Amino acid sequence: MGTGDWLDRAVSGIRFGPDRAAVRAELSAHLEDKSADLQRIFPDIPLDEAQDRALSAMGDPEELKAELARVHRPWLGWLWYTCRGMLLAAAAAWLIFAGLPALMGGGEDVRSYYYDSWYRGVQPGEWAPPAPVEAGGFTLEITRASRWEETILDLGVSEEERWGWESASMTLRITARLPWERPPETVHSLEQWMTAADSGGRKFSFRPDPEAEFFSDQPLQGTETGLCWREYELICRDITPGAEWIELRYDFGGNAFTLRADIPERSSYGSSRVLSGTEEGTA
Amino acid sequence: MRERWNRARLRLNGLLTRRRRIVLDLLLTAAVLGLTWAWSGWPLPGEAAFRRLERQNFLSPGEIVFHQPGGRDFSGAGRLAKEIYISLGEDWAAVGYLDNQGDYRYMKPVGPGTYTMVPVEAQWMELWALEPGPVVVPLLFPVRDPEGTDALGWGAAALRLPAETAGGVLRLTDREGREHVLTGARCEEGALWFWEVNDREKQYYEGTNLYVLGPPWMPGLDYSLELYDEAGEAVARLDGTVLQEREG
Repeated sequence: MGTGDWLDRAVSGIRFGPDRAAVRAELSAHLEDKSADLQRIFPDIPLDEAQDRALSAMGDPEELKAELARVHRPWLGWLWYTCRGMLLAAAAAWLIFAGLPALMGGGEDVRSYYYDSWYRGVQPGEWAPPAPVEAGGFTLEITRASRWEETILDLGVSEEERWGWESASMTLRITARLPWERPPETVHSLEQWMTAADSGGRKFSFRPDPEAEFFSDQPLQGTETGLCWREYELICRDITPGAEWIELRYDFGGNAFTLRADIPERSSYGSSRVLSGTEEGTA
Repeated sequence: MRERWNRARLRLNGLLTRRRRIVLDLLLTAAVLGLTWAWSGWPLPGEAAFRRLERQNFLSPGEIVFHQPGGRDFSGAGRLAKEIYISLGEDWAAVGYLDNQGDYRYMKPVGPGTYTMVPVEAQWMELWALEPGPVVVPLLFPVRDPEGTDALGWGAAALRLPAETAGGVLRLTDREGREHVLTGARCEEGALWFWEVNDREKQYYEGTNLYVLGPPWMPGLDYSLELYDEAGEAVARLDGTVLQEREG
């Protein structure tokens, strides 16, 4: 029996192909080592004889076949291959659904243009956040508040005749218990059913303003996100001059909450708007 | 160098038995799938996505009385039609518009008769406060033809109808004086839905040419609704106003 036939017969009981090839290669290397050893010990022995002796020292291929078949169970090999396939498929899914869209710039930055300016200058201690409330399994809290002054610049009138008003903005943070429950960019229930009132009695709505020229003019804007939370900027335009606080009120579908936030006394942001519609902000 | 590499490989093979490799592969697969899910914005299928929208709008799960599958193709009506669910609570109705085809932004009409179009997210929920009794809720996103053809239209759902209702006819007159007679299809018990085709038109919006429908014309219109049972016998005749978003 030739070396090739002996090897084929010895591994023929292994049903998992890749294992069969690997064991065959290992046995072949082992035979080569053995015949090389024989040639080293007996330098006069020809190669064919050394190979024959090495082969006969390896034993009966049928016995080896049964032993190898017992050790190499095919299901473990196929399971391993299936797992590798799943890993490759998962990597491909990541590439198609997450990696490529990110590379192609699919994400949209909805962060408000004026986000940093509104709260600039609000000093620690000048404003304290109200206690958070729970609604429908979410935690709602106001994390920042500011007062600003807005002025209309009609270049055709004198400085004394120009008019302005005070506005307030607040950051409402909604935190979910699980990352996949994080609220969406637009929470329609808040837009439609949340209202606000200031200490002077003026009332505000957070419904989208179809006439707004800028995204930052919308009274409720989804801005920053974290793993489990999203922040919304709430803007109340033309509050009662000197108003001390603003109270958010929500009551729909069996869930109700109120959140009252003090407004800092000092204006932290000034905004001037030219009648043509261009806007300029100054801190 | 090669020998050192082979030795390292053998040591690794000794540590990573086949069973350990399987466990490692499974863990890596779960991690990659989890990352993909998170990176794609935690999408959920159909009803699970609708239930999540309910929770995100601070609602307890309502009774689902309407479901219209969205388009599965990526062009024409299939691209535009969202999957729609309606659930009913004690004094509210939630209409969920779902789109799992990506971050495609739709144009949504705002306000009764104002018809200003604004971009909205891929998943959206309208909430209606309900008075006791039957109600007709407008669908504010285009709905696909019930036959599944490449036609889109505007629809409305009549809810809280008598249990024996099997069909109905909704009559309304639009703001331009045209009369519409729509035949209702039964959804769940006590719910009918009405649909009328509307040709798409191209509109220019924020620097982009977008195919949008004409505005939904039903919100705020007075209606007359005739209801029939299985045998075609009249069940009731109702008059009212199609719900519309409140102002201010």
